[in-house]
Amino acid sequence: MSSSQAVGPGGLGGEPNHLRRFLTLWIVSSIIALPLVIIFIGPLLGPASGNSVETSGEITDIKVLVGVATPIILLVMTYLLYALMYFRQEKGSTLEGPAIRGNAKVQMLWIVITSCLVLSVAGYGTVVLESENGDGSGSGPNPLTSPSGPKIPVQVIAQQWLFTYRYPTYGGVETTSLVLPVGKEIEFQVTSLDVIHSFWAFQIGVKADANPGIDNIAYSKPTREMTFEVHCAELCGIWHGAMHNEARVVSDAAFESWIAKQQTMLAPATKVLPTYSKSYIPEPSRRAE
Amino acid sequence: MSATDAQAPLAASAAPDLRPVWRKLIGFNLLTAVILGVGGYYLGWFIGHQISTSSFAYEKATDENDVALLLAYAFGVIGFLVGLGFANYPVERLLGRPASLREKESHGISRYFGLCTDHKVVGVQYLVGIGLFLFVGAVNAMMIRAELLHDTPTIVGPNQYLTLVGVHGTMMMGIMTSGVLGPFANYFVPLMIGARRMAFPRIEALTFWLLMAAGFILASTVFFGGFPTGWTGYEPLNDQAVMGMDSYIMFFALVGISMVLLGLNMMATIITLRAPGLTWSRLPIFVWATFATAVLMVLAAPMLIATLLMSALDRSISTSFYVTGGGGSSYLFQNLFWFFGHPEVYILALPGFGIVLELIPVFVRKPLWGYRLAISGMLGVSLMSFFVWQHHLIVSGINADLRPFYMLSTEIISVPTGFIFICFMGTLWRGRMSLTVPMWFCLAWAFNFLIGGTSGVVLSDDATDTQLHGSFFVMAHFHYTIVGGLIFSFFAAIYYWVPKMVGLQFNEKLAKWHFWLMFVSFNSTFLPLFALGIMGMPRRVSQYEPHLVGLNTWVSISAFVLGFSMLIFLANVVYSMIFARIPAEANPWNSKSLEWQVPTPVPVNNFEQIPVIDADPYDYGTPVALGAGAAAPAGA
Amino acid sequence: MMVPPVPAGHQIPPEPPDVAARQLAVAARLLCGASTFFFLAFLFAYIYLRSLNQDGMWRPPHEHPNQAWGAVFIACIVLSALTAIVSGRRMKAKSASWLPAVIGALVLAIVAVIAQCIEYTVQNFGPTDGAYASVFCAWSAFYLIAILFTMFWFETQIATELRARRSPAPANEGDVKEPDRLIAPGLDAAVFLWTFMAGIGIVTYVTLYLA
Repeated sequence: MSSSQAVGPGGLGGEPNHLRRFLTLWIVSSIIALPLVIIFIGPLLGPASGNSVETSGEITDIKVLVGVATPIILLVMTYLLYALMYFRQEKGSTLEGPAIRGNAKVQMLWIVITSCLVLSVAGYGTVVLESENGDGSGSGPNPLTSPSGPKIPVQVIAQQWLFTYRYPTYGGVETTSLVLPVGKEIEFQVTSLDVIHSFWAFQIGVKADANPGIDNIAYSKPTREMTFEVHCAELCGIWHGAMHNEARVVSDAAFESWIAKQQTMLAPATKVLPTYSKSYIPEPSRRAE
Repeated sequence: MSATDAQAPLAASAAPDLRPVWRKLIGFNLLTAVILGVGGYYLGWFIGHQISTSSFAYEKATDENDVALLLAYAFGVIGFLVGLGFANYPVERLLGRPASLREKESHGISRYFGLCTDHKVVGVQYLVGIGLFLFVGAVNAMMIRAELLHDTPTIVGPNQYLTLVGVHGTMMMGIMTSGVLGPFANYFVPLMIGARRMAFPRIEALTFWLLMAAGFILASTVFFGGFPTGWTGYEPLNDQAVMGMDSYIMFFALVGISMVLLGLNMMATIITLRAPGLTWSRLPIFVWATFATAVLMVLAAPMLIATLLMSALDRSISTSFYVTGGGGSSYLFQNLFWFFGHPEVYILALPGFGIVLELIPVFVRKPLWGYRLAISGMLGVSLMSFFVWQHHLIVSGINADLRPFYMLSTEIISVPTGFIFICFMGTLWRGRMSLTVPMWFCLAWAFNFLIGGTSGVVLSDDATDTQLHGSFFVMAHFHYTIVGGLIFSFFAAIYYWVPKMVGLQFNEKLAKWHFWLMFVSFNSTFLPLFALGIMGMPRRVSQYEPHLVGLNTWVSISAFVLGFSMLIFLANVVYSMIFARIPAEANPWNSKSLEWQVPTPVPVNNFEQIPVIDADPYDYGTPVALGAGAAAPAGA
Repeated sequence: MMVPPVPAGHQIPPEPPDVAARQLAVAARLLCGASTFFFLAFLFAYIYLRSLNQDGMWRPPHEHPNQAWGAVFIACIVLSALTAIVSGRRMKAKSASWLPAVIGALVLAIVAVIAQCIEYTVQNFGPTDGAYASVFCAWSAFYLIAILFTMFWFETQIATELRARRSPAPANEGDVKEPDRLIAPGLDAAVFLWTFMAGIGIVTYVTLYLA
């Protein structure tokens, strides 16, 4: 321990400037990787636009986060590779490394940079959430922000193991298939009749848990005519995996004609349904005795 | 100390035990425990039936007697513990007899099969017990992946599938909470702090046997119809479920009690039994991680116990905590469960942090970089973990005002987690790294936890969570952090410390095969799950969209390879421990930490003399001249 | 063999008694922390379910606990804690009168448990009668169990002292020879725990009976 300098791979001529080398490696790899990630992985994360206002907001958010994460992941991974290459013990050697216990500057820099990064990401996320782009998430009976303008309410009633859809402004008709008009703001009111389910239509950017006795509101404004999947996203019993259906976004006219047909066809059923309400709870009954 | 050591053995009982075998079997041991456990089970069942057939007619009608099963389990556990001898001390104290620290410990291998107050024996017991239940959980995982080869239910029906999913998750989560603290902290914390024992040796043994009883109870769920809720046990599905749900409830209640006692014991030991000179700033980082974990265990686990007791009451005597019809709320369960559940996952992660930061200085021959930063990272994670739980409830319909706060708190918790990474990287800086098997596992930890942690930040954003909650993206996230993080560091600890615990070396070639196969197959299994989540596959399903079959097949095959890598590890264990039996040196890694300064095998009272500590255990490295610019003074 | 077998009859060399004292003090404080979080779950359930008032089923208007027995219950708890504190003080002053005080604390706590049990039989609701009723019955019942566990601890100290007064403890190596040396830190820790639990009891009473 009498030497005053650690002997590094540069030999007696002094160590190579690891910091400069590594930072160069990291910056170069980030500059190369970031566009590649955006161009090739970006589209795989989902269509940025074209399905609904909410989807585009959410997918853009994912892309932003993945983009921000890329240089951070590269930082650590290139560092691990660099360490594997240059900070090795030669075979048979028992030399020790330099007794460095810390570096106040580096630590402070790390704390400040990571904190700022995290706070900005959180700020961005809050902005997205409270804008129209983020209201596809179930926000309970009193959402903080809701889109202005006319909304078509669609009640999603979840039960074991089926979703039904009730249109209160169309006579309270309850159907087993979901059809939505394109370009209109839809207000989903999600509730359950028994256990917790979750109405998940990822292609239009909606996920809202269905709880018994609760009205969980989520919004979506589909911008494209398409077929999309609806899955239950909360384990609800043995046929949870089977609890899915296909749904459609169609043109205004097609929607009007469809709903009119449903109203006529299901008129006898609608007559015996309970009146539309925000949630439906069976009468309290004593389960014991 | 040596003066009192000299008066230790009593000549009278030093004679060998010459009684016949059948005579030796009578007493407080595992056999008695099993007998009394079974007896207690039937007693509880009988009492339960007497209670309910008179009051709860519907139970008679449906043959779903939760009261009876819960009582049966409770009495069974009590009988089991009494049989092992755990009631002896409380009864003695009740009668006013003086306290004694240690049970009269028998000789030989039978110590490992009963109540033994030697922390080293408890550590080895934990290692084997945890291994056993991990194996059960892993077999379940293999069956789940076999089922997911097809997009419709083919091998097992939906109820069995959900039980597989539930037992896999519950077993792994419950067992791994004590997965590192049980074997390694129990064995090595007293050695690292220069103590002869844990603060409460009998309680230590109790935590182990509670965990074993719990694991057995969870496995018995298959006899009662399994449970359909997954490891989170959400109400009201929980309330609706058949009797097998009670196994889950009892399992977690016992695990919760075990956790509280384990954490309490660790904290009391670390606070009171440190050797002279071992100030808090000289404590090994693994001990700090244990401390941070123990804080969470003591505070979060009681919440779980209370939550599940309410569940049990809802199920058995029809209270209305979680059932909407009687004024209860499903949200109550979610809030209470996740108030425990989030600290729980940090209980899983923190020991992993402790292990890697403890091991890498040894293998790069440098001190731990940023010791204080690492401690503040761990304690910061510990504290903050109580403030993030509602990020599990973002789309559930909670008060929308709360969501930005929980997004912020969840994002902020990544800052102290990041401290661990900078300390990891700083320790590697200009080090002289030897690529031993434990070192490889530590490097893999960094790789995996990075991906896992970053995906957690992606999930914490409320808008992205709308896309990804309840999907396979979440599965990928937590498997990367828990398996990629904790389990990899768990194996690092095994390859590093087990030679000390059992005195035998592992075969290095098999170990390297294990590592590489595990690392590659692990990433191959779980990386595609991110994609599956983005493509809309929900969790806990055995039916999925047909276009996802290809990716699921790839994942399943990788999972089978991952399982095979575990078999290589088991082969290494069998080969090294039973056939090769090459003795391990006292300090094969040339570590300066206190636990390596004692001989192998570790003597029964740990130290000849309690050492006096004058520095932390990271005294590696050639000093760097202050003028050379790179070093900060020691202790920074 | 992985760990060498313990020579028969071997005990760990005893540490100075203040180590045991510190361990018991730490354990008592940690148990207070754990108990706080355990009962916090019930407090949270109370507040949450009351604010939700799902379908108006939180608390049907006829449901009231018996205030008289409730008052007896909390009065006994508080008196028991005060008596325990007195006992602790006397132990520290090395006065022999700590023993009757702690016995008094134990008896008062048992009376409190009995009072609450009687209250269960006279109240006009049961655990199946809605959310408030569920919280009331479960919370108070678990609190009674917590009281009994704490009283078990006191009982061991009383029993040790009574046995020591009758016949001094034989010198079992590894055991502390003077019971008072062991009891004093144990009593101190137990008094701390019981005082804290009485505080939890007050919160229980105020929330369930008065609020």
